[in-house]
Amino acid sequence: MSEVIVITSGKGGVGKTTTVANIGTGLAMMGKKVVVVDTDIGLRNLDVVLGLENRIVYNLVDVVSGSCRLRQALIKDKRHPELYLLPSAQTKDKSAVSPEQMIKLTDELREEFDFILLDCPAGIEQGFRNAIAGADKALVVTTPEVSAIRDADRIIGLLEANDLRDIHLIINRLRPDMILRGDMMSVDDVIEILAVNLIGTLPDDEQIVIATNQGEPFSSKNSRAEEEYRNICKRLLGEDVPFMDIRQKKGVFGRLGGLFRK
Amino acid sequence: MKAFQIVKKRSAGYARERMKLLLVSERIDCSPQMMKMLRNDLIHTVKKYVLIDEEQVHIKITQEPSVIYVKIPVQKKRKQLDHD
Repeated sequence: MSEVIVITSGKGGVGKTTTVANIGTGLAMMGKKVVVVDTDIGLRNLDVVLGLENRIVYNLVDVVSGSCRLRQALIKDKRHPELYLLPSAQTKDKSAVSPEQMIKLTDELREEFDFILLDCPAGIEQGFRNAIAGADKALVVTTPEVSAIRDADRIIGLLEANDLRDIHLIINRLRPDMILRGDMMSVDDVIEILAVNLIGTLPDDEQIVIATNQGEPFSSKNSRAEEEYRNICKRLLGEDVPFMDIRQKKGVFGRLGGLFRK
Repeated sequence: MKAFQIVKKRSAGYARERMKLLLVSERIDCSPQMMKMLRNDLIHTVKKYVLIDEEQVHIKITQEPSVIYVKIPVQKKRKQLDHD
């Protein structure tokens, strides 16, 4: 039984693409057959985050327009045998694809893969409508900032209006030190405001920047964010994983303890 | 009391209150300014018939299902007599 999941946010720059890359890699490492699809036509990004930018021949627009077969456009990640990328086109724009074509594409992908992860473009225009058209489930990424939260609320409203009601929230770039001194909204604050199911809480973690620089998600050893990405994958697979306490790692001893915790 | 004030002054608290107010009004497509006008109109209308405590009027909007709850505390009759 395969599942099509769209990762969206409304606001740009909150970590959609990084989330898709990490959850995709994480699920593939757990033995699931995964394809990550970059639906941001004209602004290709997922390929560089995954380190697969030099292997693109065909893209999503080529597939939906019938210029190539689906198999020809799929890029197999050699480091993770179960992970594939369907890259976006760099030279076309959003109008090159219609929601109907996206539904047809996702249905085709369902036959091959356990998980189809769609990286949605920022905004609420056609790119967004294309990305959500074939999805069963939505992961909404936000940060604890007023601008991102307002856009997330708008996106949740639009998803519901489009009958996509299986919605889960990922709160990204949490800063425990700022939350503790009352200068950043906490996980509870954000959930109370948005009133939606939580599936992941990610600390602001420089390891993610390093992994992205290298084009290799899940490459660091002691990353709390990667640990939580793994937890999100388990939750997507139906496991009941408790949420990590964002207030941990307070003080030197807590910090050391955090390094050795599994 | 002082500690409470410090907590309240912190920016996260402001952000939370601003967002709650803004998102509720955006969900029903009614701006914070219009919400204020709605509140005033409600008070004005009810006041014509019963004595109410204007400071304690609360408006709450829930999403699923979308319902506007208005709480208007009515002042006791004794107070009314005091006025006379």
